[in-house]
Amino acid sequence: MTEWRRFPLVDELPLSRAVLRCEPVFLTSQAERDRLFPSLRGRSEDGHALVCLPLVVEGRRLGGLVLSFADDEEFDAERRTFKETIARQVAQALDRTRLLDAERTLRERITFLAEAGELLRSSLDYEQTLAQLARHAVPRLADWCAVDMVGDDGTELLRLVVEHPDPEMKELARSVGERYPPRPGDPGRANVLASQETQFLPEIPDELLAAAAQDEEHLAILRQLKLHSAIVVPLVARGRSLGTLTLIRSDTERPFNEADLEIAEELARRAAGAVDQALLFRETERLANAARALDHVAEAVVLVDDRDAIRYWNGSAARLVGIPADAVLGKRAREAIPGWGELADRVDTDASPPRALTLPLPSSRGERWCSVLGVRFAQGHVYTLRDVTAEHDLERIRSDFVATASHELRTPLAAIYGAIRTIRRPDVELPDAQREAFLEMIEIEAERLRMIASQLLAAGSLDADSLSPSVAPVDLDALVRGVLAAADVGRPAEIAFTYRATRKQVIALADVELLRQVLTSVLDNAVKYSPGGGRVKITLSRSERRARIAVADEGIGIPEEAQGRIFEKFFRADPSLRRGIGGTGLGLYIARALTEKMDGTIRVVSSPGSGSTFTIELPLARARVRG
Amino acid sequence: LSLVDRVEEQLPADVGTALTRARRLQALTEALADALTPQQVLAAVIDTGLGLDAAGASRGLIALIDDRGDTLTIAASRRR
Repeated sequence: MTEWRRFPLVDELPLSRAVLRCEPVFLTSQAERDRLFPSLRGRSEDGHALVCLPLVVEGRRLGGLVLSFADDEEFDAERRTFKETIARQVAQALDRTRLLDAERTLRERITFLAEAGELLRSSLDYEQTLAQLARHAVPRLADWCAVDMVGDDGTELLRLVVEHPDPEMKELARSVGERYPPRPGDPGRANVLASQETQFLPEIPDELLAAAAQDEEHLAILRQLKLHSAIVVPLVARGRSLGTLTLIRSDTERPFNEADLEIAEELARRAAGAVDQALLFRETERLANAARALDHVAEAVVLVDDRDAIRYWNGSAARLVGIPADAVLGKRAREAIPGWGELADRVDTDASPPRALTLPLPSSRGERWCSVLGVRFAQGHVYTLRDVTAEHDLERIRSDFVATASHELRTPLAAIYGAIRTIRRPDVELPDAQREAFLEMIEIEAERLRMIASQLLAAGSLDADSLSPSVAPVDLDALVRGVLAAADVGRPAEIAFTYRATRKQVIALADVELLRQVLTSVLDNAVKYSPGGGRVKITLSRSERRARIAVADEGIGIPEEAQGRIFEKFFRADPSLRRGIGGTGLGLYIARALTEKMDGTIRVVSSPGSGSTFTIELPLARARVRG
Repeated sequence: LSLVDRVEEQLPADVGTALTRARRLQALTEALADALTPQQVLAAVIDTGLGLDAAGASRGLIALIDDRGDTLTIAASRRR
């Protein structure tokens, strides 16, 4: 009987019958045994009497005790009772020690899991933590183990940790994972990863190894690794498969059981939680670094998720739109940011490469023009917005300038052309006075063309920074009188110039030609913007260190919103020429640039409808010498 | 010989046999009481032969039911 290691619990075998029926079987001789259990005939050893006793405690069957005797025996009631007493004692002892064993095992497992928990909490470096965990599990839970993690591509499994007490086997277990990565559909870790379900193999028959092996060498390695019992558990956190934990027992006497499965799953659950936490921490740290960097970029960066909620809003975005991050984060972009819907609808976030669009966006500082790029990613859209309001305005002004300059050039040219054609007509004899009037017109318009050309040249020189003023002491009274005299020639009749100067001599440090140009431009401006006529009052004064020339008119004034911009290049308060006032939009720009080149300033005070006062200040020659 | 042994020698045969059996049972009972693991129980009954001695058997074995409850696996066996 001893050559049978395992046998089924069936009625045809004496011990099985005793256990199955919970009743002792007493066989006094081999003959009786052969009679009652014919299937055993010829298969027994040299035994005689045989007693099979069930080991039962409180109705629970634990197994059976077999006693063989050297001779045939008669079992009277007393002897039967005695043997049953022995069996009862053995059963009770087995039950008691099993309970003790279970309690001890439970305590060990609780300790094991508690220690594993400590290990997992000890560091946010999950690669190191998992290696420690593997060392913790071998040999207490498994004879060897491996941890495989999902690679960056989200599908490939990479062998992160192998723990085996034998260094050679450890290397073999490590290399087999690399040499024979799981194929799609393979049983084992790839399947566990995909299904997120544990694979429990209390026994691994050789046929299973053969089926799993990719070639003969692979099979030889698997056999060498002694894969007798295995548990492969998925590492899953928040529904995401992170990897697998493989536990192997090589000892055929100690296969994994249900309790081992429970502890393996608990261990994997804790490990997955720790890995997830570490990954979250890394991601949070990476995002924090990115956010820190993005907070310092000049472009506004806005991240909107799939549900249109704003997830990121950097400092530049707050400055551009005038809304702080606290007020928009987590809110729907279309509701929290005025004009966002129109903007987002026009940006193609699927274009490759992304295309920038220049679009308006309302802000606390009025409408801003932004160069917008949008890109779609897995969880939403990211937009960058660069404030190009200044460039946009300049572009608009530049195009206005082209229209204005064309107009400004065409008007005098048409006048000159018309006058010359009239003078040269052979069929008309012009009276001298009329001929003189045409010639005067040609002179005036030619002068106008010269002025436009010189403005364009001056603007070009200023752009190229090639203008170097020749600064010297200039008597401003003489200069103002000279400019007024020249302006008086073409002064409209409805305009009157008045000039008042301080009695003190005012000598400024300036380039006399540049200053003349500045003053002429300001005076010309005063006349131009006084279409209804009126006085243009020029005042020369001085303070302790500065000379001051003020030109005040009673004209149409400058709209409030334009006052801050009239010195900008190409800017015109009336670009559409509705009022019929011409100009290139360069006069005041040049005036300010030239004044500043001479360390001076120019500013304007204006009341729309009442006129404007331009004030030019320059350093006094005396002050400069003293200073 | 001790006093007890000398008394035993003078006892009737059936009483002596009963006493011997009782002594063996006592030894087995003590060994089982001392056992702290199922392995120690198996050893006490089979490996050391105390259980077989007590029962007067020449050989024996203990088979245990596996977790699924349908198979017996021999956990310990001995031929005297």
